[in-house]
Amino acid sequence: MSLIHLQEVTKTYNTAGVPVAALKNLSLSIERQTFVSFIGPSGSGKSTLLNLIGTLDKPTGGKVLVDGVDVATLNRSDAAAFRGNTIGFVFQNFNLIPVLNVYENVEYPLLMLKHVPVKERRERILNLLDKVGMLDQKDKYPNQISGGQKQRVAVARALVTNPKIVLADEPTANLDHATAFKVISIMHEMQKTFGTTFVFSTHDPKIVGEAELIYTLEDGFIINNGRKEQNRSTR
Amino acid sequence: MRNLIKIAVRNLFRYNRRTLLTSSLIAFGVVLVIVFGGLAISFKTQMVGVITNTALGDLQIHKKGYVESIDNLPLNLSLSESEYAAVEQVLREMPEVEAYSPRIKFGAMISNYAQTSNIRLSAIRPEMEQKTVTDLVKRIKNDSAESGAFLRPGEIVVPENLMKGLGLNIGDEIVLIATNKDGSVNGIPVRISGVIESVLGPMGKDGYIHITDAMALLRMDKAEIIEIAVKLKRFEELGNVYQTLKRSFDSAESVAEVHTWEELSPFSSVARIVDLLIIVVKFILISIVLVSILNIMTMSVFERVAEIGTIAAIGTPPGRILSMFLLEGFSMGLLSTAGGVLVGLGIIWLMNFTRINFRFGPMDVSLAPSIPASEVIVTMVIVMLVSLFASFHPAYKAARMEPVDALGHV
Ligand SMILES: Nc1ncnc2c1ncn2[C@@H]1O[C@H](COP(=O)(O)OP(=O)(O)O)[C@@H](O)[C@H]1O
Ligand SMILES: [Mg+2]
Repeated sequence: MSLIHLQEVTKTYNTAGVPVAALKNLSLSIERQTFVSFIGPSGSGKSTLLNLIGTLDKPTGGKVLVDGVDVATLNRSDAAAFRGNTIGFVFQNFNLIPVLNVYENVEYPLLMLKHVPVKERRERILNLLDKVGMLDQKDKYPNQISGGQKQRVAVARALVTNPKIVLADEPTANLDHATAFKVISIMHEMQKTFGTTFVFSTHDPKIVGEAELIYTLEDGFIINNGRKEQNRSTR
Repeated sequence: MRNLIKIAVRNLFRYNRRTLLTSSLIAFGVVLVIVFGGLAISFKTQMVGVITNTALGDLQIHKKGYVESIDNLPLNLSLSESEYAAVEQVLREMPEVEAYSPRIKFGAMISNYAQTSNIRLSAIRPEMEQKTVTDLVKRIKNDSAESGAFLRPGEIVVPENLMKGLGLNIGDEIVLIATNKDGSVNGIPVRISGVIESVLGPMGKDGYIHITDAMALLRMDKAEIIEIAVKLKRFEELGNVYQTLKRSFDSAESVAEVHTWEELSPFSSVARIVDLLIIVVKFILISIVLVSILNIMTMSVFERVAEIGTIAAIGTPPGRILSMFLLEGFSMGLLSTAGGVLVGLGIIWLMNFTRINFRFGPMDVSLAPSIPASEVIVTMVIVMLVSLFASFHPAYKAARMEPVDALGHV
């Protein structure tokens, strides 16, 4: 069974009584250990889709199965625990915790998991900080590092719990092109190293190059999907 | 837990100025409670001490019905020799009782052969009186320097105001005239051996004579005791001893009644007002803490919506978010009280150097304030509980936030 499975998913928002369909009857499967990207213009439904996969929201219709779990059945606490164990997040605005330094930010998700021994925690954190190239900055606070550096820390934080999936909603939207590219390649490298499934979204066609599988979203529909090679040939 | 505390405290100091301001406000409230409490409690203790140690004693025992008509100083409501012996027996068996002193109280005329005035008299056994109201001698200016005998048979100690009013001097001979309970009038000469400064309360204007003189004046064959003042070893036992005595006097065959100093002195209402004021000040503190913690925590939550969304998204369960904010409010309360207690105790310590002197009615008061540890602890506990309580609503709001909505909030 696929790691992520969406079956005829619809999501409708009600804004002041007016229904807005953000996802329309969307079905797709994402396999383990893949590097997947959703591309589409603003308002096409990327965030909505990632929120559903991330168990942050529930579909209006259809089923969302993540690692075999129907997200609609999770209550708030279960969903939090499920995310803590299974999903890592990277956000557009980095969302590091300002009162924690780089090391402590990466450590934070581990505090929620009781079964990881202290020594292993430390090793994992240092190893990840090393891999994203932030080891020498580990005592700095978020307001002392650049956007690109913040996002690298965020990638380390997303991976520290050894999740099956890392979701990144427009992780490069606030970065310049060179930095964006660097962050994406770090993510790709991590994906290869840890075998984690990475799902990221972007509205910038230039940075999807790294993805193995690219879905194009428009108006709540997937209008195109396929391997990079195919995708390129259609352009 | 350690990490939660770390995050809570760091979040507090994130908005330095705001935290400092709120914290000072709470600390100010704590200082208010401690300093006011210290002053009020020491004022009360001192007053109560003056009243019980110079005049009333801690408890008094009378014939049943005496206190009801105490204003008339009725001579017929006295304890007979056997009734007094029975009461004495009870008092001797009580380990809490330090001393007791039998008194005959009555109204008389005092005359210097030229002028006459009224006087209320306490006829006492000096050695027993001195053990019971230990500070009495301090208020008496005596001609006989020897201690232990501030009053001998044939002598009288006259209150200050009467001395002045009648133009009397120590050493003068005067005459006491009184009517006994059968209505016959008698007089005896006595020598003024001392002056007593007035003390607060109904006994403030009492003169003192020896019990044997009173017996002669009132033509008693045997002492008919009107009042027994009782001193306890520990003032804190007052309630217990009172209840025990009350129970033993409640039986039908007993003719005695017992009252605490509170029931006998008008100052007890002042003491109650002081207690009430302390409570009022505590309520002010509670309101300060409630409003300021509620305010600062509500601000904290609403400023950090996106952050709450983040930690919720990355797996922080709602309960933990709740405790994070509760802990933040609690730490705020804790730090503020700690500061307030230090400053408050510091002020009390300084006041002990300078001392606060003033007159309360006829009494010179010199306050060296101190506050019982229990009061300090109660104050701290109040602040911390109220801090928790005030944090609950904002913390609950934070815990109830939907991560998607919170994340979308910038
Ligand atoms: N919380 C919301 N309430 C109402 N409408 C929403 C909400 N979130 C998204 N939408 C709408 O759903 C559509 C898809 O939005 P979104 O998933 O954020 O797209 P994208 O992330 O690709 O920009 C848009 O039309 C947007 O206006
Ligand atoms: Mg979006």
